[in-house]
Amino acid sequence: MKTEVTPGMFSQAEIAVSKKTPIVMAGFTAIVLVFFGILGTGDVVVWQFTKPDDTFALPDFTVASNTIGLIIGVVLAAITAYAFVLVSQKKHPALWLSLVFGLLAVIALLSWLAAGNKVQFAFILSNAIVLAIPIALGAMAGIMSERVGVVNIAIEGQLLTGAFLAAVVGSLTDNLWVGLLAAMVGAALLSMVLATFSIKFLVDQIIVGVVLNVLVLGVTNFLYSQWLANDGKNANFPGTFPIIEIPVLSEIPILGPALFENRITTYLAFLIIPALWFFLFKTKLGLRARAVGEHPLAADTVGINVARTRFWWVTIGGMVAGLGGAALTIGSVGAFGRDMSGGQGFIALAVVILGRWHPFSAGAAALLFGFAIILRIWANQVSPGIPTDFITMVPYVVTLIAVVGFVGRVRAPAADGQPYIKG
Amino acid sequence: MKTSTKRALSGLAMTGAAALVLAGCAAAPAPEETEVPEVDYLACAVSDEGSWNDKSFNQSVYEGLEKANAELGVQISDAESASPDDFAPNLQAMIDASCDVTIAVGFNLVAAVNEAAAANPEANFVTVDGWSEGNANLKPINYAMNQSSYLAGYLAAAHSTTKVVGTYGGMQIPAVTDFMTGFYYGAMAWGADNGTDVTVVGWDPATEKGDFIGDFTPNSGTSKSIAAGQLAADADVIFPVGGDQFGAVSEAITEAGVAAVMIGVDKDISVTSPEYSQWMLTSVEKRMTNAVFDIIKDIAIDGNAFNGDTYLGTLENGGTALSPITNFSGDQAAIEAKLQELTDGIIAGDINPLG
Repeated sequence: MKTEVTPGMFSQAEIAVSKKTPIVMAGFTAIVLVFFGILGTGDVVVWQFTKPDDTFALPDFTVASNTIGLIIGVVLAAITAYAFVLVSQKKHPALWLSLVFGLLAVIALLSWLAAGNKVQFAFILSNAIVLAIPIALGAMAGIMSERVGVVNIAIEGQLLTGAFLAAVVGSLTDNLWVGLLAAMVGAALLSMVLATFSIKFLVDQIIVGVVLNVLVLGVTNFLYSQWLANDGKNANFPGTFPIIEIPVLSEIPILGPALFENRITTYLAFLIIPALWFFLFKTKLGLRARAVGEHPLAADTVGINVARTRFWWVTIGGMVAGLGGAALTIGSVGAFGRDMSGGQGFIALAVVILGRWHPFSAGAAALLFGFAIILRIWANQVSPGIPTDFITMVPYVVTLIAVVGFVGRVRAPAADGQPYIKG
Repeated sequence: MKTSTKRALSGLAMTGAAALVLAGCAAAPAPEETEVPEVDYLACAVSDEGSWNDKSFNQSVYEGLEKANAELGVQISDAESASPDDFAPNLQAMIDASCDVTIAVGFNLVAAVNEAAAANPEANFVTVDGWSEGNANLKPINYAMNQSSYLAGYLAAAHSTTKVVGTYGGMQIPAVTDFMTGFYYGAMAWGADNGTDVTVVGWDPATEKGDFIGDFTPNSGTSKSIAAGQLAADADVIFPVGGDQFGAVSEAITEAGVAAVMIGVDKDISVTSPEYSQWMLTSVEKRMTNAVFDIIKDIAIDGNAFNGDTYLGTLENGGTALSPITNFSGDQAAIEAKLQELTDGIIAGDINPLG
């Protein structure tokens, strides 16, 4: 991937051409060829690319499950061979090659799972995106604070704060926009606590983060059981933002409905991810922020106010996480439920690392987790014969392989988690 | 923590005084106005984090206590827990108050009440929705939810226009699949009675495969996606067995733009959460009030010894039941008569809700 990186950001191990990628590819190719192709069933699978009421309805694509397995298996074998050739010529296989490989393997997997049934492609994709949004926004908050050197364990608490305030303020004022604003401000205030304690008072960032998570969980649980449970009609029935169809774009076959028939929370996430990339890597502000996260002393020496930079990046990160929390309630299911973030803030932390502190990679990693959730649900519904545990496992195996095979070694910003004491 | 013993006693005294006055001037007092003799029996209860007016478990238990106080003349005392940290101290306070029986409400107290029961073998305890870890002085109250769920399944199939109904659970554990299995066979029974094919998506008791969220997180996106998937498979009645999933299901229904309904669990959702009443067909209720009253009566009035046997709430003893039906598409009087017939059949043992 071509990104502007801080010198020393990536290790030698990553630059050196390794055989890992083609070897992992060979393994997947074997699985697809043998299990999905040769041992696969001849039952027909119907690929539905569009909904019947879409403007440009594509015809359903009907094919035998094992035929798809065999065809894709052969193509994957060709890609693998090409990757081996590249490596033998000391060239690094391009990322797009891995992406095409992964996409084809996923198509083979879906076709195998849905043998004798339908693959509702639009349903899977749009659900994966909606489920990924809170994780993605949580990860953006994580990137924003870790890039300036503050470890943000409190993402979970910020998501929960956002979810709670969005639902409650949205219900009480009967205005979802006010709810959204309250979620962002509330989570930003929580971030300010983290920032103040870790930057000004130099308290251990992990401890502050954990305490904030527990505090938010306790407060929201208390308010839920004492107030929302008794007065849900007034205080916890916000409804959700309307789904906005973007003209023209939403009529693109396959991708259109999944990407351009969404709620405002999803569109904001689509805007925030590239915007964060732009700010971090293309502006002076971003360069200063990264300098503070890599080498605060050097940054201070050239006149950057380390404490102030850290404080504002962490605080604005909190706003983004609050938006992610709002996406859980008024951007998806409406009402708040106790502990409804259910660990997604911690998944977001993992996504930050998997995405190598880079907005686009982290967004893609969040999508992988969203896809993992919907794959389990969907596979269970179309193909109850396959053990649920196995399907649940697949995305995490893929994640593991992605980390080992495609990502290579990752390195956090050098001053991540280090308090800076002005000498 | 509050103690309502004094208040209850003064209320009792007032009732007694009123009854005396009434007895003096009325020729033949109505039987229910006669003085309830005070019984030397102290029944106590400890709530979980919900309050006594939570319109759910806690409230039903408290109403059972009040009923026992009014009709049996037993004395009552209680403690509300604001957080899990209060469970053990509240139980201890009840033990210190020499309660004859202490009712621990809710699954959350199961560890604390087992500990208290083991440490105080002379005291007696009841756990609502929990279990005993080998303590003879701890009586669990459990529910045959498959019975009311069977009725719900039958009703769902009768309501459905697509004749596809859906159910999904929080986790695949017996306490959850009990609901789903009863629902499945109820829906199938309607199909058999009417010679129509009914499809249940989300659970198949024969293969024990179905849709599960994976946890009991309320209103999760996962839950909504499962409901959306079932709606996409043409289901128009959804029975989510995983606590508070009604926001997720109602949003999935709204988003799909279909005229689907849902069935509540544990309490009458139309009453406890009126904001969802427009989507509710009915609810399968756990009713604690009768169980609490029966257990106290058995010991305090009928003089039976306390035992640790499980009290099973059934359709017969009113421990579980269907809530009033709303939004039904067909002839409501006819279906209610049919459900009563099925209830009688289940009580008589002619119908097995589990197959």
